[in-house]
Amino acid sequence: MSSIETPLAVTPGSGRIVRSTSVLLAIGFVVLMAIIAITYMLAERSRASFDEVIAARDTRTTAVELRNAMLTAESSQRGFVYNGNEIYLAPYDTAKATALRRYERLRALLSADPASTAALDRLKTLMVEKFAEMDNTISLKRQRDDADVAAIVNTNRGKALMDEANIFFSGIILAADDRLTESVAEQRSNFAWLRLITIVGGIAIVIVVGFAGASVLRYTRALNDAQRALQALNAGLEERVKERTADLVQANEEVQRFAYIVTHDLRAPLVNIMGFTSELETGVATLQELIEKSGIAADASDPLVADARNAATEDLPEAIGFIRSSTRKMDGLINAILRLSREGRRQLKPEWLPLADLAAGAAAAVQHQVKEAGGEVRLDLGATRIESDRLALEQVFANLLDNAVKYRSRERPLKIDVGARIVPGNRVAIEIVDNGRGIAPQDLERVFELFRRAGAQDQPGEGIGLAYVRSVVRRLGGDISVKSALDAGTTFRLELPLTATFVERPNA
Amino acid sequence: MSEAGKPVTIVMIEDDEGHARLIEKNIRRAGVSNQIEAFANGSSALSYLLGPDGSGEVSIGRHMLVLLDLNLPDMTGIDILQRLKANAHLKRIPVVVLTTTDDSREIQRCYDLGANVYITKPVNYEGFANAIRQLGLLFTVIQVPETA
Repeated sequence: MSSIETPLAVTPGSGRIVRSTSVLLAIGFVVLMAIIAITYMLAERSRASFDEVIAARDTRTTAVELRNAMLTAESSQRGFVYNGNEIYLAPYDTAKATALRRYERLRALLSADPASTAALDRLKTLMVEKFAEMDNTISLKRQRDDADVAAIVNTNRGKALMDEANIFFSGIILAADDRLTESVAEQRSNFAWLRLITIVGGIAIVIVVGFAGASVLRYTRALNDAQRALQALNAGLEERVKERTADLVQANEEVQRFAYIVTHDLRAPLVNIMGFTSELETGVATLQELIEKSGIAADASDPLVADARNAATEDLPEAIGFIRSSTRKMDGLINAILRLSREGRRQLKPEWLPLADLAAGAAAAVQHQVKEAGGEVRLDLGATRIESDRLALEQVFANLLDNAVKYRSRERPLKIDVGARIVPGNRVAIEIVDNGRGIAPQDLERVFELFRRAGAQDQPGEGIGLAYVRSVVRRLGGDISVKSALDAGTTFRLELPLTATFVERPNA
Repeated sequence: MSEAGKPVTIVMIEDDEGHARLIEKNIRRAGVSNQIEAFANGSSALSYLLGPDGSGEVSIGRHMLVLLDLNLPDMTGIDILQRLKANAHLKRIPVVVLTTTDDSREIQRCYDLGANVYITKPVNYEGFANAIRQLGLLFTVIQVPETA
């Protein structure tokens, strides 16, 4: 069957697919993690260089503003010193304050750069000296001390201070410009890296996802194939079970029909044997009468007469008696087979039956004998209901209880317990426990065989009861088993389906 | 057992010689002395009843009663019953089915096909003898039509 091979072929393949899928997933995860880490790092660097750009721009602006404030203060001082008009001095104080504030700001901005400390200190000195010189000339000019003013101006100290300060300003601005350029370049390289990483990562993820998707697709397809194959197999199996059941049912039916035909054909010669035996009997009776009447019986001297008399009065009646008892027995057996075969052909009618009622009915039928034996029957079947054939179950209970009564122990009062409980598989187990004479272990299986009986043959019976019970129980879809201890008791255990699942002939 | 002085023939179709002999003996014991024609198989019985041409004309004018066993070696009693009841000349002949089968479907079938009496052979001899004697009694009162 080719459909069997497909699911078997799928099994190792599925393991490989699962393995390769996990590897792909792991690779994808690692790639994703790397991308996230690198992106984070680049973002950090980008932020740092952006901060750097802002700091450099602030530094540059502050330096420019400081220089402008110094220049404003100087031109204001110069204007006042030339013509003594206070109007020129108006922006001086503001410019001075601005210059001092801008210097503090510059110092704060450059605090991270230790190399600039010396330059800033020098710048501070220059600013202090310059403002001291300017303050000095302004106050001398106000006291009309023009000669002293000219003397101070002529030293060119102020110009020298301003020139040196300008060199520092230019240095700071240039450095800030360099920092700006550098940071922007770094920013650009960051973006380039980020783009590269994004592209490479994207490609890696696409490849991994593509492989994973392909293997998932392959796996799903394999699963689908396996499922389809399994379904086909299942359908085939069901079909085969159906076929086998039909075969079995047919074989069973043939056996039943065979038994029926055999019993009928066995009956015909039996009628002859019985009939002509009766004719013989009548003939013998006539002979005996003749012997009695003729009186030749008194003549014992003739051995032929004595033999004839013996034959007519003893041998022939004895022979006829044996023929009769044998034919009667055979008749009984044939009738038993016929009954079994008829029961096997009877159509079962499922209906819902309370087990307790069935058992109570069977117990009532043996009540008289149980009472005579001083015993009791205890029923504990609860409210269990079972879908089955009423007549068949009644016969089963009747047979089992009848056996329990028949094969009771003479040494103790009879006790029969009938109990039931639900067992897995939607079945009910019924136990009929007696304290009778029991069955020897070697006879346990024999008791279910047709025409076989166990133990002392002191009870009438043909040995069909349990054979019949087993065949009926099996037809009802159940089974029966027996446990027994000699001289202690016997337990028959019936297992029946709770809902009817009869093993039925298809045409019945 | 006669009509207008014409004697009725009992046609016995029974393959078991023992049964045939016992039936005959017990019928005689019941006081029935009519002629008994015994046949041990279906074909010889049919050729007697239907004639060599199978038309049944050979039986015209006969007074007959058929005693039929169902289990025959060459055909079933049912076949014979069907042939008799389908023949214009023989269909009114009373047919007594006497057999071992007591299957209810078989009994129904025989009556459906026009059997007049169905008797099961009891296995015990007393019952058997008794049944045959009762049958003999029936034969003494039964009215048999002339075959036309």
